[in-house]
Amino acid sequence: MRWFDGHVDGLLSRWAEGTLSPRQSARLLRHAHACERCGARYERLVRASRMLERGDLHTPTAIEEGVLADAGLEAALAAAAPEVERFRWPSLALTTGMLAALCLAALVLVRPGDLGGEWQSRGVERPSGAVLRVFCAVRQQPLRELEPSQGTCPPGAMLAFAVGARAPLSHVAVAVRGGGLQGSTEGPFAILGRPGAEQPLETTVPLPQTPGQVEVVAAFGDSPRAALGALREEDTPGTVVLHLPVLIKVAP
Amino acid sequence: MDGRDVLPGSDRAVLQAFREGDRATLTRVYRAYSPEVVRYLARRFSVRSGSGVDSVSLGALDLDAAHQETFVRAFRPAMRQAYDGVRPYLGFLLTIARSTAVDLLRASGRVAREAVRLDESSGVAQLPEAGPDPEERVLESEVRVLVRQFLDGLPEEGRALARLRFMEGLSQEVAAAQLQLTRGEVRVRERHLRTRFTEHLRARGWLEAPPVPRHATDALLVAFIALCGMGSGI
Repeated sequence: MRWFDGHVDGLLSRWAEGTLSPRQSARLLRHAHACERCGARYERLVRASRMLERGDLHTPTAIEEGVLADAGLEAALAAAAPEVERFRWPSLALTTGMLAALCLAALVLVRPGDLGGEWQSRGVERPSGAVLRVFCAVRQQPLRELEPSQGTCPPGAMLAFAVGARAPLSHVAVAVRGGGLQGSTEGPFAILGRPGAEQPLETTVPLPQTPGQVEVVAAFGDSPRAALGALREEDTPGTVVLHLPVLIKVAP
Repeated sequence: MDGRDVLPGSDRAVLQAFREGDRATLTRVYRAYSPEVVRYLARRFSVRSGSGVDSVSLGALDLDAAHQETFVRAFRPAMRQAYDGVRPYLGFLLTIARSTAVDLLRASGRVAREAVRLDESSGVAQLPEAGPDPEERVLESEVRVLVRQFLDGLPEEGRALARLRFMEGLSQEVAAAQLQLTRGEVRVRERHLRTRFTEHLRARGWLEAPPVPRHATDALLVAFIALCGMGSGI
């Protein structure tokens, strides 16, 4: 049985009516960001609504403004809280969410290369302030997070990523190298999550169709340029580079 | 309260509460400025590149990401302290919004990394003379026809309501007075109008998404939902 197979067509209809609650607004947008089908529908519905109500494609409707405001408030307030307070008193909902995610996969926290490239368990305060999580996605199977000692994924699968970082780290660039891959750069992306509340990157990387090994490299910096520079192994002070080797092999 | 009065204000206590991260004050500030940030981010941006100036805009989902990220950055403790309480807060916010938009456009590959710098002078500026590209013109024309077909298919009272509320931008109260209805009746009819519009879009196939996702997988969806749930505490 698949864990989650729902789309948000009903919420899209309610979006159009302007009757979404703040919680539903957040859910709709979260899903739309992650689901190409629903994301495309949302984009098209927004365009048509803007044209109907505003007469052009670039002026948001009052409903759209309201939904965006509702959906973004919690994240803004969370960013405002002092970090010590955020981690000392996690909300019940956050704790529940963390437990749910742990049912999917174990958290991996990577140290920067200059500290030995070791992986450590979640919750440990890291001097680097950067967290990278790598997931192995195989169609029709539950998502699996790669563990430090078992970074394995079958040929042809997809790698997905989630990151979190503390200020001043604000951007991340990712590359998957080796195994015959071209080593293309993904990003830089603005980092939306923090350690303990990582957010997914809107990119996935397909693995080669043959067994072998690749390495995931994530470079964190305080600007897009710094992140890219660090990924290119340029001398960029204040950046953090995390590495994870991934073994490509057919699952037993 | 006018959003522009929230910050800076003559009441120093408000600024103090803002800097200290008081949730109620931050919520007021957020609610006051959010619509203007959304409208700003939804406009077209002109981006200077090596060969000239490109006109780009954020998609609806990018708009959500940029809006949220703008306030996340603006509300971080260091950034709250950086606001001097003298200059208009909106200008301060929009500077962050512009930087966020640039980051997103670069990350999505909409503009070349080398073409945009984060400072205002050499990066993104809003140039009204920069027009949409041909693809967007076609899209706009397509959506305009779709809307015209919908309006033409409405009964007279539906068209009148759409004209007053959407094209003339009248409030529900004023529209109700002109249509000789109660405000409640206008509210209900407006909701029906929106529902009917969505049905029209579906019937025309406008909402159909591309059939084959390029990279998304079912499993990836699970991760995103779980991770976002963790991040937002929902």
